[in-house]
Order: sequence, then C-alpha cells, then structure tokens
Amino acid sequence: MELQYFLTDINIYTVLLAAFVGALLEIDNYFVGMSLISQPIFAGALIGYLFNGDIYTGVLVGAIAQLLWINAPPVGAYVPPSASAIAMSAAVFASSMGQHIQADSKEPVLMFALFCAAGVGYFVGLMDVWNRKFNTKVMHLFEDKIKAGRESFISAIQITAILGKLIRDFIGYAVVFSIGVYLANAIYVTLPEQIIDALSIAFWAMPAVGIAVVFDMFRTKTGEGLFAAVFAVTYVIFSFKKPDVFLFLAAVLTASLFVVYNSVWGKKEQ
Amino acid sequence: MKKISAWDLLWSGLKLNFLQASWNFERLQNAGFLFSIRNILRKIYDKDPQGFAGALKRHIGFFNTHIFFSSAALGVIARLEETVSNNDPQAKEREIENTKMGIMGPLAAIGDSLFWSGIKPFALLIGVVIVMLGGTAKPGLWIWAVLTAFVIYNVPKVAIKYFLLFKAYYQHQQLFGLIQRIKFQDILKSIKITGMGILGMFTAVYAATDEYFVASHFVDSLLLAGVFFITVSALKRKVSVSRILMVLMVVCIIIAYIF
Repeated sequence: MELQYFLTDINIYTVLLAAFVGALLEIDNYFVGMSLISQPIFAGALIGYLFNGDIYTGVLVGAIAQLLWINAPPVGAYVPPSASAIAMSAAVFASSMGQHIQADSKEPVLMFALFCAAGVGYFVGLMDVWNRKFNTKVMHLFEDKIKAGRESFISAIQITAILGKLIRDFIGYAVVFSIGVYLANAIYVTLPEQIIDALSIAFWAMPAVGIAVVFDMFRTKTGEGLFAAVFAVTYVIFSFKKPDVFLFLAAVLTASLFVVYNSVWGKKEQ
Repeated sequence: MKKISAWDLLWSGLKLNFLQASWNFERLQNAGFLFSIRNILRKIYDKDPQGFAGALKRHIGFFNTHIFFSSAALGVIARLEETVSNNDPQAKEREIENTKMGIMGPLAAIGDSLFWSGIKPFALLIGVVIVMLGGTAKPGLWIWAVLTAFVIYNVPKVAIKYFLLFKAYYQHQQLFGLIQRIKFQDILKSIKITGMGILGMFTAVYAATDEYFVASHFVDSLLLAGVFFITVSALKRKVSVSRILMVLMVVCIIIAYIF
C-alpha cells in the first residue's frame, strides 16, 4: 500500500490521541511524578487499546518489554532508552500489522514490532538528552531574574521544560504512530521467509532473555540458591500436575519470606 | 516563632513531584528544588526582600539527589533557613550550602539502590508474573497486575517521602541517626531474595507447561536454559540488553537459513 493511501486509511484523531497520551505517560517516566503509570506493562496496553482497541497485544509486548528493560534506572546524568516508548510503539506497530498483514502466526509480527520499537526507545532517550540541554538554556535565560528575587520565573523554567518535553514527544509519537507504522508494515511484507522464521525463533526466546535480565538484577548468593530450589520444585510439580497458579505463587512468596527472615533478619538477632 | 506550618511542608512535598521536570546537565535538579522550597522561603523571608533574593540565589545552585529521598533534604534546609540567624548572611549561606552538599550524596545512594535496584523492579516483576501466568488475554487480570505493581511501588514511596520530610523538619537532629539505624542494605537484600524466589517459580511454570506461554517440550526447555545462561553470562560482563538482542537476532537468522 502506498504511503498516501495508508495515511488516509488510518484515523488521524486516533493517532493524535495515542500520541498525546503517549507523550503524557512519557513525562511520568523520569520527569514528573515517577508513579509507574509510564511503565511498559501499563503504557503498552493502554496505547494498544487507544490505537486499535487491541489490549491483548499491548499487554503481551508490554510484559516482554518490561522484563527486557526492567534494569534501566535513571541515575544521575545517565539517560537510558525509554522502555515506555518501546512498549507503546511495539503495541501500535504489532496491532496495526496484525490488521494489515495476512500473517500465518503472530510471533514474527510481535518480534518485528519489538525490534523496530527498540529503535524508537533509543531515539526517545536521545530526545531526552536534547531536552536536558534545552533545559540548561532555559535556566540560563531566567537565572538573573530569579537571582533578583522574581520568583515567578522559577515556574516559568518548570513550565517551559515540561511543555518542551511534551510537545517534542507528542510530535515524535505522532510521526511514529503514522509514518512509522506505515514503514513497519511496508518493510515487513518485503522480508524473506527465512527472516520471518528467524523472528519467530527470536520471539520464542524472548521470555528467557527477559528472565535472565531480572535474574542478573536480583542475584545474591542466597537468592540464587532459592531460585534454583523453587525452580526445581515448581518444575516437577507443574510437569505432573497443574495446581492453581496464584495459590502456588502465594505459597512461593511465603516460602521466600521465610528464607528472607532466616537468612537476613533472623541471623542478625542471633 | 515557627513560620512554617505542616501544610506548607506538605505543599512543598507535593511540589517535589516536579523535582526533575527541568533537569539539566549543568546543575541537575536545581530549578526543581527551588520550585519545591519556594513557598517556604517566601514565608520565612516575608518582610525581607533582600533575604528572599539571597535565598533564591542560594538554591539555584547545584542540587542532585534521589527524587523520593529529596524530601529529607528539603525538610532540613527549610529548618535551617528558618532557624539560622540572618545577622551574618555569609555564615548562613555557608552553613546551608555545606549541609545541602553533605546530605545529597548519602540520600541519593540509599534511594538509588533501594528504589531503582529493589522496590521498582520487584513491583514490576510481580505485575509481569501475574499477567503472564494468568494469561495475557485477560484484561481484568491485567488491571489487577497493574494495581498490584502500583501499590507495591507507590506505598513505600509515599510513606518514605513524607515521613522523611516531616522528620527532617521537626526532628532534624535525629534524622541522620535514624537513617543510619534503618538497615537499607538488609531491606534491599530481602527484596532481591524474595524476587528470586518468585522468578524461580515463574521460570519453572514457563518452562514446564504449554498452557501459560510458548515452551512446550523438554528439548525446548533445554534450549531456553541455554539462552538464559548465555544472557546471564553476557549481562555479568556488562553487555547491554540491546546488544544481546542484536546477537540473538543474528543467530536466529543464521539458524533459519541453515535449517
């Protein structure tokens, strides 16, 4: 499909709404509040729903993006890629491609969407660097007035910085959710069969990579032992019988707290 | 006589949500901190425009700490601004600046490790586990997952932030002793161990069943274990996630072309 036909096919109001909500959520990521609503598990599903009414795809790619980029703390001057942007873009790409492309299975589409979205996430991270440089200029612009006691310019700095970020992200997301979606669709249909198969295999391995990321983040000597023990017991039980997964989760949580008490807190009291 | 009320402190605490709104590479959170403490300074220097201008000038300097622990810095600075005499402005400036510089680093170290390496990933892990074990096709479950993660992360965040804010202002002499007494490293270790237990269960369910996700056979599980161990080994060597994904994709392409 040509770009002009594709663009007339999509609902511009939906794109603008999704871009606006995406830009608002992006602000929560590092700049205002940091309440968790910008995290992939929430943001991916919400934008997927707004864009195409497709909450399922958003939840799936959001959960995977969450595992993969769970370890991206905004410490000091380090600006990590935006996990929220990855999840939101992947949800939009995947749900749009699910509509426009006659694929045999959804795995390669989801993996391709995640792969393209990772690029968007790094670009949004780069935009944050630009924003922070812009904030320096804004601060210098109003600094003398503040030093002279004109306090209203403190709010001016804050408002300018927030608006600058909001507008830049809104434009960025509007482009990604329209032209980016077109490009993702157009590129995917030209991929050879082997690449589609490769995407399927890669998607199959994604949860293992995500689990490894969390494992690396939480690893302690006692924790590694507990991980191995819980894994072995759960694997054996679930291979033969499938108990209620949430009751089992509660049991594991209780057992873990027991280990924590004995290995960390109980030890200190002795 | 006290000029600052509990309401003033609470209002400043709420404004701390905007601490990083104008984060810049030169002085980091300076404008955000000034924005948060502005109402308190205005009350303290009510009839002293010069003192007020001096305080604004003082706080537009460098500031950087952990966003949720910054309330402790705000409480202490508010107290000093109120109690240190204005007779010697230079001595006041020195005392406040030294305290500010001295408190930022330790608060940032505690906050960064506790929240970014502990509470936040733990909350998100619980959310992902609920969604993926319960089935991604159930939107109702997704709401529960998000709510659970939201509560696990935000309840300690709000409690720590406002407790430190009021403690730092009303009992600032006891603040440092209190921070030293709280075993943040043990709390972090406990969160990590509990997280590993849950991760162990999640991994096993994912590997052992074909109902919950994609792995279905023993051979598949072995291959996934290989991917897991290679990824852990790469992460240990500080290889980034994006580079791991690139390598994985290249390997998958080679496999797809060979088989």
